[in-house]
Amino acid sequence: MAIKVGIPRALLYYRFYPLWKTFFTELGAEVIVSEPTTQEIFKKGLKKFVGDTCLPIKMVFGHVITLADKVDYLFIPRLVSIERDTCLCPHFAGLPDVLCAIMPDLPPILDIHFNVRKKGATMKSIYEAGKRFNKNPFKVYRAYQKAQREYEKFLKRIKDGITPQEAIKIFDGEEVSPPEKKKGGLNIALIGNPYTVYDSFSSLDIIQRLRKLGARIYTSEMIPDEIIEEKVRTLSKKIYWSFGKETVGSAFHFLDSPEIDGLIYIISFECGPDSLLKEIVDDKARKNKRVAYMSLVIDEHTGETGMDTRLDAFIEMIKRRRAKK
Amino acid sequence: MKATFPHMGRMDIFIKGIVKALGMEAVVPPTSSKKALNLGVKYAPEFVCLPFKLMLGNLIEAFERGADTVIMVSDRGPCRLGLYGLPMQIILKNLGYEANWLILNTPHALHGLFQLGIEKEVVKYRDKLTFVDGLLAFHFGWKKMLAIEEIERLSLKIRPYEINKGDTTKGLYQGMEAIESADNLYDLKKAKDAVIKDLRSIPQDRNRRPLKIAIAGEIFVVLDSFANLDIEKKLGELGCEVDRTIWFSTHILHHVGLDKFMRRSKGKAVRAARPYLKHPVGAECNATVGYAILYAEEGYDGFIHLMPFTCMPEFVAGGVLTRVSKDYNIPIFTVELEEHSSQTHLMTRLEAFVDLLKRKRQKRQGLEGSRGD
Repeated sequence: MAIKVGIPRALLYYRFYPLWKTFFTELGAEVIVSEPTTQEIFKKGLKKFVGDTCLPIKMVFGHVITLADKVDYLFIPRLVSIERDTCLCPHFAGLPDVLCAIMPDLPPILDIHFNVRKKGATMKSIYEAGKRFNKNPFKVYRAYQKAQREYEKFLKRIKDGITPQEAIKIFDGEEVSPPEKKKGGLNIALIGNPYTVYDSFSSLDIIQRLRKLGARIYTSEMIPDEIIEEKVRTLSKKIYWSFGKETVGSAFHFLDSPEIDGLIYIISFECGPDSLLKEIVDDKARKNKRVAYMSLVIDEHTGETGMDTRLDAFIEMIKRRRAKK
Repeated sequence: MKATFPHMGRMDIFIKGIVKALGMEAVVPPTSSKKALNLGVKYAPEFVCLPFKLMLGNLIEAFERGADTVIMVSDRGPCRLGLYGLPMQIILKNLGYEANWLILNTPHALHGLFQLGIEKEVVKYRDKLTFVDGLLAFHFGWKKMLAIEEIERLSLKIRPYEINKGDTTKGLYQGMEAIESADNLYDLKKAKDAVIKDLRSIPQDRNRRPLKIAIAGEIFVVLDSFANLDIEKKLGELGCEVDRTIWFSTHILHHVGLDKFMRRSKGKAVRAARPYLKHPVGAECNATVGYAILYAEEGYDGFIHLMPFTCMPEFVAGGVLTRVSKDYNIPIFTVELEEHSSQTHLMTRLEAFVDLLKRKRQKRQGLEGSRGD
């Protein structure tokens, strides 16, 4: 029987799932993903939780608990840094340790140390991840290469204009009809950490809501890295969080691009990086008279009605602006 | 140039010492107070951590007093401290305070000082000052800082024994003032000796056996007595001997790599934490966990973990500490500090914690006693 690897549908699932899944499947493991977040899953995690922190981290706990008795290994990589010069927020570096400390009876955690800031660490971590399934480094490497090809396809699909959720569905073999291009429709850009924006529990499915209101969605994943790099260079200090950099860079880009009508910044309450970056994005947006801007701070108590009201008002505002012109 | 800097504990004494010896001008913001905090809370982002709010409040107050240059430390993450500068600049600019910002891109004080020396604003003083002057000034500031820390350490040792509550704290504040006003090394030494003598002569009841508690956590809230609601004094007056794990001087020594041979160095703590934390998470996280282990092994009764609300690295430490507490059988109390934290609330919780420790000690002694019979 194949070894079962559990991947929680949280945090960087929305960014790396195709890569992880292909890699483990190629090595002969069976990948099990937890169900999409529901109130029930979330509450399960909250019971075990100590202290207080952002919504995405709280959600991981629930996913891990639901996976725990179904799998042989839990895949919770220790992502210190995923690109050169930047790192992730400290939660990612400590998450496997916190999970271990709070819930000692979990199945073994594959806490692969991933830090591209260090030279040669990447290859080592990949082998570290694969060696439990196949001892042969070449096979592990081949599996990784295949995974990377799948991952690039996934990224390309996103760049073509669909959301990561849809790209994951396509990767899993489901049919996804691309959003229609309506003439005169509103173009709304969504920014924020991927694990807050794309989880339909935490963001209350904001993407579908906006689409129902007739908007076309743009996300920061659709912007090439070079543009983001170029935009953040205008700041006097380098932003050292990967997603923070992406958020600010794409916000600046969207504010400058003529086709965008509105920009929404989704922040989960108590998010460390976003608490500071909001100030930078707010300031830039305040000076921009053309693009309508709104920041939504969400937590587990955010209600659907409140969200609808704010989105309705936001869309109405953009429509009026257009009519004025 | 009228330079200013945000407060962190008694760091102002260190910087004032240097500035004084160099004959330069500095605007020291008024000591952190409710007013500074309210100003910070008003203009800072909503859920940013407490140090940001306090520092912002300090800077606004300093600008009101005519400062025009800000000196700040910074680092390369992953803690938020490294990016404090950008939003602060935006907020203060929108408030109408234009200033020069000297952001020292490293927390390593020595390196920062050299960088500062090269900055064009300071170059003006170059013709008057030599490198030796700079070194002497640094030495003087450093000595002052050490003197302050020495009397603080002593006060922590004496407070649980004092007979009249408040004696030690009064003596400590007077002593700090005396040391602060010293102009040269000779005066400093004289002032320090006098303060130590005064503190030692406070009436004490040496028959007490105080509980031993260690305090660790995020550096700003551990060092700043306003931010941590004077937790050391509160614990001392509840009859506990407190040991603080981080001092300004040990922090600097750690960063220049000179603390290797100290009994409780940060490096040692980080190594002790390795079974629980396999990677450096950032800031003081690993050291906090390590100190809990080291102090538990030394036989301390309790451990207090201070963190600002929403602090990222210390959240990780808090999670891991729940396990350390069980494994090493040491009660650990995590205090999350924010602008709404109240003195009474903290006091009640501390009293409960101290009660718990007392009962635990009695139980242990009872067991030892029965074994002896």
